[in-house]
Amino acid sequence: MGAYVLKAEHIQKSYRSNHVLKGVDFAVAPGTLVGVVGENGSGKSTLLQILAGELAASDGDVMVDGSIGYCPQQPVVNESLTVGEHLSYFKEAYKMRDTQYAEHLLDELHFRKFKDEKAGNLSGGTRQKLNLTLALMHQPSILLLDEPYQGFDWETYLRFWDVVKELKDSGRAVVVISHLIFEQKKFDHILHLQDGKIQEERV
Amino acid sequence: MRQFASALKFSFKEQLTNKFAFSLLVVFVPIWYWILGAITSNTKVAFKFQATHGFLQANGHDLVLLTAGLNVLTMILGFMFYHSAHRSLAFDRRLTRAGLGRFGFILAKATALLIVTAAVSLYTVLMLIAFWHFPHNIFEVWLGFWLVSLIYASLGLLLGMLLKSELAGFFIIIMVSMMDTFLQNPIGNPAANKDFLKYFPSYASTQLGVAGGFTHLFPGGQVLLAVGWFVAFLLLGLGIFYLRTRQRSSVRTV
Repeated sequence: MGAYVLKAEHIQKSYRSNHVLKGVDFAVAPGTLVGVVGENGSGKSTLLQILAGELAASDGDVMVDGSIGYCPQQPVVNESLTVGEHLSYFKEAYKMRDTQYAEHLLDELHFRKFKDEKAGNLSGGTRQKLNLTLALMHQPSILLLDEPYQGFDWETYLRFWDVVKELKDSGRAVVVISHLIFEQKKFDHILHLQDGKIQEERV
Repeated sequence: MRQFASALKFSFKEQLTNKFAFSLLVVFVPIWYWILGAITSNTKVAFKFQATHGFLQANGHDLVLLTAGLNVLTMILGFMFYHSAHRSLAFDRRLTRAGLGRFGFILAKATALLIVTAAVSLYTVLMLIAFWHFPHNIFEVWLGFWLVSLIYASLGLLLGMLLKSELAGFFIIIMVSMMDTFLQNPIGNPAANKDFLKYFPSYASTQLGVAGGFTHLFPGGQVLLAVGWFVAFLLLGLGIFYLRTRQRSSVRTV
């Protein structure tokens, strides 16, 4: 694939007669930051789930060169495990040697003080930080983030973008679903999803 | 191996942090034995005993406490494993997507289930003895308790894979458990000698418990029957877990 870390070809998804995605094509190059925008119900989360391998497309292919990190919109954590135990469990799942980068994220996203706290006792924002950390900690080639900053305070929101910039600068591609008009200038590309297709690709 | 060790450690942790289930064990089990013991007389009752194909005259008080122990295990362990399976399915799927081997994961879950049920059933037998006569064969009584625990923990796990509504699972476990264990007890159900009862999940465990509590016999066939129930529920539950954690994707790595 060479120039692309992810390539989506003619992605379609239907739920009975409801055609959510009607043929989505795009590619993401390493070191780029791509925003996916569109109205509620336009299929943004469905598209990201298909790209992440969480959901099968009705038709079409996704080709990935490297590893994927996916941050779902709703935090997927285990309420009975502590933050530290989550890192340790995912370290084994990702077959990593250490949790050095995850530890860096604890500091960067300001939630180290909750390391020994069970996920069930965390606030919504801190749970979201953990959700994001689990997607980033193995430093994947491409990151797929579904509105990853829900519940973040302003300072953490800014720190999130610092982390994204750090990843982008190290050659990783990042795809973010966004609703916020003011942050659209941060993206290298914007994919506007409308009527099940990418209507517009602004660079 | 390291993945298996982590999966086993955290599968245990999930069960051991279920404070509500452990409170039920500590508080409810002795109260349940005490209440049932207090309201039941020592009158002998006829129990259809499969090992001799005849009727055994057993102490009614002790028989009720034995079935009460079995009943409490079916509900608490069914609830524990249903609760954890239902709650952690999305998280478990995330772990397998991250690279946690599904075979080792399943093995870890099965190992945790074997050990937790063994320990909880042993506790329930020891509590039973506090309110009972000392059984002829305590190992046999425990085996009956362990097997019924395995059956209902696996049923809980299976329901956790299938049901969307958390409440629905709890009700199914309670209803199945009540129907199953109540019907095995000749005091609660004078028709407990009916042949069709042998097709119920707790039948073999009740037979084993009675054999250990009141006789010197060991009905080995009943162990196989109970293991059959356990293996069927476990394989179904873990098979569905395996399917539900598979990659359903159109993603190809190049």
